[in-house]
Amino acid sequence: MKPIATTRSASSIPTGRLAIWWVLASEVVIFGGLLGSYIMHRLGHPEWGETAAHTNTWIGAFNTLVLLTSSLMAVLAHDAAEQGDGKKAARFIGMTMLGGITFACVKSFEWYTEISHGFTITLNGFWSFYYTAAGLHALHVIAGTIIMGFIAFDANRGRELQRVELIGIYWHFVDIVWIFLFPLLYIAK
Amino acid sequence: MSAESHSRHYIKIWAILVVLLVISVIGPMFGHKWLTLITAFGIACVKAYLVAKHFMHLDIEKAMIRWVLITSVVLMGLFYAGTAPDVMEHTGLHWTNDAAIYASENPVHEPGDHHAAGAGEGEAGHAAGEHGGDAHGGGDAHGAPAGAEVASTAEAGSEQGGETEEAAAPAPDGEVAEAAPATAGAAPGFDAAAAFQSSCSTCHGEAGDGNGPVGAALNPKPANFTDPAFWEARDDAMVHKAIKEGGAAVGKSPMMAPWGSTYDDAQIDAIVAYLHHFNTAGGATTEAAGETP
Amino acid sequence: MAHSSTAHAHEHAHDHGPQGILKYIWSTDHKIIGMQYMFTGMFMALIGGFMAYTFRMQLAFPGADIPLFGVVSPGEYNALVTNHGSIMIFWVAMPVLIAAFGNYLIPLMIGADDMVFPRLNRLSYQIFLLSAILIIASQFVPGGGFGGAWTSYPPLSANPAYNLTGLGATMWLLAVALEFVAFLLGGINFIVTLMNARAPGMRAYDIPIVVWMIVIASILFMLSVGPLMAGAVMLLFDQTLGTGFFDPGTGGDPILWQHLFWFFGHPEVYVVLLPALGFVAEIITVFSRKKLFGYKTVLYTAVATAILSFFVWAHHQFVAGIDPRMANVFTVTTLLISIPIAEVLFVIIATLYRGSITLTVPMLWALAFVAEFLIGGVTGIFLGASGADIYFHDTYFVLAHFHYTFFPIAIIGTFAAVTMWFPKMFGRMMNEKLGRIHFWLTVTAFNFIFIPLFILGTAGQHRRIYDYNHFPQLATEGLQDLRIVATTATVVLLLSQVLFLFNFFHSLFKGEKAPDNPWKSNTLEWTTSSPPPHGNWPPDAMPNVYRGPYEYSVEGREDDYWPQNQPA
Repeated sequence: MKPIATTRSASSIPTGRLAIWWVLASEVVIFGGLLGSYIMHRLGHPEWGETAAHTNTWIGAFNTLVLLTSSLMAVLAHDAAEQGDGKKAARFIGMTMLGGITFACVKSFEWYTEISHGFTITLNGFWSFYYTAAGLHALHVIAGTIIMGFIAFDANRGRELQRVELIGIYWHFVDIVWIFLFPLLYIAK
Repeated sequence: MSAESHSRHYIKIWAILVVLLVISVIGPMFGHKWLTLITAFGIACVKAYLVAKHFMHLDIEKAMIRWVLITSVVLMGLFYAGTAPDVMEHTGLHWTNDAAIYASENPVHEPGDHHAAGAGEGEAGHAAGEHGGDAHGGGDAHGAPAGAEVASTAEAGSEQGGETEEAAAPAPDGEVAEAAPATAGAAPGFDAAAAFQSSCSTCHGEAGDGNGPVGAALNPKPANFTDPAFWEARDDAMVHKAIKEGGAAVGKSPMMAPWGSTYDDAQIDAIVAYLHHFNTAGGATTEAAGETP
Repeated sequence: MAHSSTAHAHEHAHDHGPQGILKYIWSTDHKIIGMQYMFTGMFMALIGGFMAYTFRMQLAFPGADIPLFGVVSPGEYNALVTNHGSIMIFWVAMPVLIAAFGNYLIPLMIGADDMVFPRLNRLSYQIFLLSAILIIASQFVPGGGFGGAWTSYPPLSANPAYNLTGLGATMWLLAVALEFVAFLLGGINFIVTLMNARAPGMRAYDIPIVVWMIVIASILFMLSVGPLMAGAVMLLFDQTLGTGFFDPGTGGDPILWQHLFWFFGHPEVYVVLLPALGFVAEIITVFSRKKLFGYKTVLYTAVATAILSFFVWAHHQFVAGIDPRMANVFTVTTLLISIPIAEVLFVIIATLYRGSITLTVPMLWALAFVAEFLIGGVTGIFLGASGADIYFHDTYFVLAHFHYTFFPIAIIGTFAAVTMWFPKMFGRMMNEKLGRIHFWLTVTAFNFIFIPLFILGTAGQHRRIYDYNHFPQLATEGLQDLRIVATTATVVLLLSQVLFLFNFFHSLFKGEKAPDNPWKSNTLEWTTSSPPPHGNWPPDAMPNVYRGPYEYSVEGREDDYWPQNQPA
């Protein structure tokens, strides 16, 4: 049984959604600190541009496309959940998860290729930031994918449909982080 | 019906996002720096705005939520503004980051390049090690990432009213730069001279005379390896033990730290052998021979 | 311990979960979790206090065989001072001031039956407990505990070859990072609970100041800790994978870590200060029987302090080689931040003015907070000015200033809160006489520790040095006597805590039964039984709020207090 506190809504924003916005605010400062540190190093090291030329723009672009599409699936899932169609919502979440899994697989293939060519995390500052920032982001993708599994399971049985929107908001945020990581790590050369 | 129009709206936004993605990939192909920056980061901002507005529904969320998110972004701008003036530069008040300057002048193009660069650093390190003989002399000659700056920066620090933090922050700049070449030495993976410069010279002095920048403040003074009396009073096994387990282990000052977890026995033997070359009684250097009675 | 009221047990027995001792370990009840935090924090305080004892003894009697510890080696000395600082800030001040009292008070004071996410709350405590175990375990690994100071500056912390405590340093970093995660989870819970779960009728200005303070502190923590979380990941990679984010030997930048650390580290001071100010504001109004002078002033100055605290961080780095133009900016902002804090202290003094003051034990602690914190604040002015800081930096003057702020916050503030809410927590009164003796011993001993350290600092004594006999100008007899005075006072301070522990546990079992509202206070937590049942109020009798929390001595009323839930 939920406590009475959880059912109240003095701010007129549903409790779960309010919490997820605060989670995102704390994520903004985590990624902000890391990307800010990267940008100031990048400006101090013009030579990193030549290093960055070794990243594969096409793979990065493909992964952007995958995440954008999975974001579309997440928002369609939210739409279905709003109409109370749990099964349809679960299907769309399943497709979002497929996007997350594709992203992770492409990422590991990309890293495998790079590491086997000698571009390891210790090679220079650019590669250290490259693996750390993309790694932290990939961790969010994997965590989101796992959580979506639970939510899809519930939604399929018509339970806790409000969570479909919450994971969607989180997933769009992960998408936005990647939207900025893509030019920072792949395009600016 | 309205659900249908909702999903069509979302698909339309997705299509715009994909078009923007294509533009941001094509942008750099023209090779204009500013065009690349605009297509890369300008479009990223537009994409983020579209996702936040249409997918996260921030447009119909309470205004307070927008303020919370804007605050967190603004705070990151503040962090950037306060930090970048120091981190973007490789030199500052009483410090230089030699390794960073060296890296920006000698970029690593391929993983293979790294070894070449490493060897280059190694030579520079050797040079500094050899010139360490004349006390503070190294400072001017080498532009390479050597320990050259250590003496001058540490001095600047102590002039500032003996600030330990002042000295602690910049001093390793040079010191550590020398630790790297240790692996590039001639001996199998170990260079006693470089190890001495990185681990010992801060107290014992680059010339081994017990007058390192940190050692100056210590009482009793750090051991003076140039003093023949030092070598008469000890055998190699005792010096080895002192390095491995610390000064307290042989009844000397506890300020001598134990190094057993950093260097193995063979490496410590190499360091002990290296220390002997400071001994003026051995007649290693001509000017020292002149001083001995 | 809080017992679930048997009267209501049958009504919602199904959400009690495990029974017996497990009820206390696996409970999702906010009161139990608050007490878990409090007892863990008290235990960690004992460890941190013991560490202070060992290194103070080493400084007063260098090389001596210290009772209960033995001879302190230089490496151990570094580990002791580092972990004393880390433990006292991250595992004592934070959990007790914010987590323990935040958990206990927020739902009770806003008239809710629990936090909005009870299971998240439990997870937060469990992560915190894991981090506490990790930091203790790190003292016993090969190489010893981390000795690079609680600020963990690279390059010393970045590479095991420099700090010689590879495993200890990594465990320290992981423990701190886990602790941050625990407080992020807890903080989000606090914020959402206050925003959404208030009792019907409770408007923004009807919320007790202490709840505001804890929630503002949680927001402050959440928005400042992010860069350091990122920095912790980077430092972890430096330590374990050999990257070069912060190691200048590989082109990294150690000053970046200092910025990442202090961007969090300075707001952190206000994260712990605000809840303590909240306790003091509550206690002063209750025992002055007067309306708080300027509720909105306190609230807005707290917000102003929180915002300003983001603009001052680099005053910790004046001599680290930062851009000198930045030093000017940060000097100005640092001196500015004393204004809102002074304002809050004036409000407290104005509340006391012409009140009918009762000097109960919590009131004594609250007044001591104001007096001692003032010294801490005033000495901060010297350090905030970049010119004076060049001389004072890293001396015992800084150390004494720091302790004159943190001791009132973390120790005096905690004792004020514990003695104030003990009757509500455990349903028994604490012993007044023992409480007074403990108060006077603690506060006197505290001043005898840190006033000598101010003098030593102005004499040029640097921090984090193992044995001052190696420095002829600091090895004089007069200075050594001051060190011995400080050490003796430390021992007295620690021994007098035995009185508190005795009082605490004796009152817990044998104390006089407490009435529901022993202090005749207005806020909602006093309207339920002592201790409150699971769910705080019967589900069909949750309180409604009709007025602000500080309606004391209202004219024309028989009682001099007017509970928030009493219809007009």
